[in-house]
Amino acid sequence: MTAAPALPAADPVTTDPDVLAVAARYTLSGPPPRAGGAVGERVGRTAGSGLEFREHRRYLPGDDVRHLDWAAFARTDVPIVQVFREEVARDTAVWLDGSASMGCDPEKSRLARSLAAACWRMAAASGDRPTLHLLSETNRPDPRGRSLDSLDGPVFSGRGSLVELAAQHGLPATGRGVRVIVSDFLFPHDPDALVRRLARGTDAATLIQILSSFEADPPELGGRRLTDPEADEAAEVTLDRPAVAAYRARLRALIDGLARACRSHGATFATLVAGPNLNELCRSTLVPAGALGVRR
Amino acid sequence: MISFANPWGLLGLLAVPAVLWLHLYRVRFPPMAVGGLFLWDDAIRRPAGGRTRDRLRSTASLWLELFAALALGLLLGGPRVSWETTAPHLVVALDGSASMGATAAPPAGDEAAPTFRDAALAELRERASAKGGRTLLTVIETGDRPRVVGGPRRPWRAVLEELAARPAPTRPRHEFAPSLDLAARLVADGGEILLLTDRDPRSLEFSEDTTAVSVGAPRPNVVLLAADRRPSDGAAGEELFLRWTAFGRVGPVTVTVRDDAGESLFRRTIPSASGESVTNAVPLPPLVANQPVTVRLTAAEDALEADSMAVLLPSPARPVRVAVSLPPGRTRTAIERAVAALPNVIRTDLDAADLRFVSPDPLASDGGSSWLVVVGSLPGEGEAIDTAGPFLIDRADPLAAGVSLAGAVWGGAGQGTALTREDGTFRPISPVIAAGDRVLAGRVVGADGVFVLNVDAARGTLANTPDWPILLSNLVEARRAALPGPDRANLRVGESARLTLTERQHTADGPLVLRSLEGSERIELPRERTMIIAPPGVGLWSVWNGGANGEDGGRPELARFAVRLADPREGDLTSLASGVVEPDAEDAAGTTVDDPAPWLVALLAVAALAAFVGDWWATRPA
Repeated sequence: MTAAPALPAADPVTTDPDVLAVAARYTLSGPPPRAGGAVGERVGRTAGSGLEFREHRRYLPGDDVRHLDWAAFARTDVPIVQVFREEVARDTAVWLDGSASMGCDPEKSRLARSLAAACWRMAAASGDRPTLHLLSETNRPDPRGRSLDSLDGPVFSGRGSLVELAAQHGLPATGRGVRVIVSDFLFPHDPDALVRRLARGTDAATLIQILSSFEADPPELGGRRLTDPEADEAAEVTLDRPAVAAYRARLRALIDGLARACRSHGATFATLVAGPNLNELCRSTLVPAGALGVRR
Repeated sequence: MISFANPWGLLGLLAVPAVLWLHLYRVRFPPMAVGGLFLWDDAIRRPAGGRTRDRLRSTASLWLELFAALALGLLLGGPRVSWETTAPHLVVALDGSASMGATAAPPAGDEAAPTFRDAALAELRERASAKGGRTLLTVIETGDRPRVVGGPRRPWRAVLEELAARPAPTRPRHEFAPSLDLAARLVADGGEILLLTDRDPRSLEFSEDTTAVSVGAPRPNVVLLAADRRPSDGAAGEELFLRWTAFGRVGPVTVTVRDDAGESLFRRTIPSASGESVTNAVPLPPLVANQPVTVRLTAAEDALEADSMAVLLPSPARPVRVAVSLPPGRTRTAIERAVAALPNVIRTDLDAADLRFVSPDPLASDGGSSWLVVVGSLPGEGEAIDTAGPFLIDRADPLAAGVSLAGAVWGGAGQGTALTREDGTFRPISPVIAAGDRVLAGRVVGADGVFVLNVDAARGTLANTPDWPILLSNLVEARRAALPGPDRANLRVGESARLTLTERQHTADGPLVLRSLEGSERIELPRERTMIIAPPGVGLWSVWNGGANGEDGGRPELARFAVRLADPREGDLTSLASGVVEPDAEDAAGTTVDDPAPWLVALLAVAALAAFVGDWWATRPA
């Protein structure tokens, strides 16, 4: 009798070479961290207590008098302070929609988890303090987030949309800094209210929509029984030319609504369609959309 | 090529278009999980306008259901496989005469010598195997009424096994024409005819496309030609009359007669000469009067034992009880004197009589179970006359058998033409003997067993002529023949006996069977009041009343018959000869083999089941 073969790993993504390569090549876009954050490797926007001299400027109320350049003050009789770059750590929160619709397509599921892992690693590589949050009613919101390797297991089991989570106070209270929200956003919503809520309390919000190839461009397959894994709903749909055209129009309107809302709230928005590898998606979509920058 | 035993079952194939229709109008949508079902809201099907035809999609479910419908339709049709190939069909006319049971050679040691029938079966095995393993056989046992004893159209090995288990034939000499005619009909769609016999085929007549093979050879044989039990001339006991003939050098013949317990009653060894008939009269003691006795002839060389022995049952006692209820006078005396001279007649009173002679007074009844003979001048408008003819005699009527009335003067012939009953009704008389307008003897119409003799024996000369006892004997024998029971018990093969049932036996339920007491053969008989019984083979046979309840008149065994082979033409084996006559025609074509094809039925059933299971699997919920 032979031993039963070991069960395969549940599609790990956190150590995927593609994820590691993307994390090494790109950085998350966003403003520099505000002062007051934890000491880190990122240069702050205010005069800080770092060692790297930045410039002289006039004293403003509130500046630390210890940074007055007394020599310059003596020469010019103008209070001038020495401004040093402050090295602070930026908070980066990666919110991954944990609803079941994110897992209805294997490629879509993998792309969402890979992207979340890549964002986490990008933040970590930049000296930020990344946190990972799985947004579903089964996960209690925790400001400390979850471990990265939780992305290697099944994560998409939620039954509620982000709108419902927000209404139920199910979104985590993460600090200021960068917030990356990964979701398919395929649920009825008011884009303006949704983006406002998702971007609340953060310095920079990036909304990345993940779609399966079918969801992005459904072919004319004929009759199908479409099931919504979140709502346990099903409907017979004939995927013919008019139906597909109507679907595309509604999806376009949804994406356009989200894009407009993001622009109005200073957030970044991008749509990714599962299929190409992650590096290609970052290069062709996320970098041009301003969600990522190329690491120097 | 496939044919169908039940073509109506092919209507089940309508299920195929039905499945297509269902798939056209009831599309089964494969499930697909998506996010954003609300985006499809405009396209979600809602059954508001009935079903619409959709594109037929090639799905596993469609093909499996079509296959299942097809398999079930074919299954209901009862598929049969025929192959238009060269399966040879051999129709064999196997000689069913008793001589085929004769030994082909003297026995060697304790082993039974092979018979001509064994040789015929060996010949058949050789010819069938030479035609190939797929040879099909149909075997007809010849006889006046040929019957198929092997096949039809079955593999030759199985048929030969069945034939080997059958008993040796016991039919008398017969023509082969009826069997060959039947064989010709059986090979109408292909096949060959083979006649297997022990008779020289060059002396037989058969069609040119028939192969005739004789396996016979001259053999000595002793034949018991006659064996009858009859009352001895003395007062008690019986006498056994035997006649036998030896064909060929059989040596001295020993005649042995044994009783039912096997005790020897007679034994004598008699020298024989070929072709010489020998008769023996063997007295039987009174003690065996009601027992069967067995007669056996033994000789040093006797190829066929079946015709050398006979079992003789006691002849059935069928006395006729006669009552004469006539006023004293010449007529009564003449009747009593004639009846007294008849054998096996018992005088009795009126109530117990089977046959009653009464005067032509008005009748109270038609006689019931007994027969009535009304004797006397029938009253009419004119006076009774004496007539010397000419007489009109219905010679087809058994009552008039042997009656000539030559020179006779029929006295006292009244003018009446009907019989008067007490209730004033009349029954007309159907004449058997008439003279002018006078009915001299006849049957009463509408009353079975009522006869009229319009005669006054005191007048004329009828009572003094030979026609008078003949006429009365005919009446008594007709009554005897109508008595319940068999009219004889010992038969030669091919002969028949008459069996009359009582009213109770006639109306009983259940089967009436003629069955062999030494074999397993059973023949259903029609439950008629009078039947002709012809046992088909040698040995003891019994008529078994399946509806008997054991009470009076309800005995299970109604009759027993002993059948013996006594055919001198069949017993003469000295003229047998071997030989082969091959047909002039070319080899016959093979026959179309029709196979119920249980394998095909099973295959279709399994295929249909597999398709059902596969369809269930393909359409199960994800």
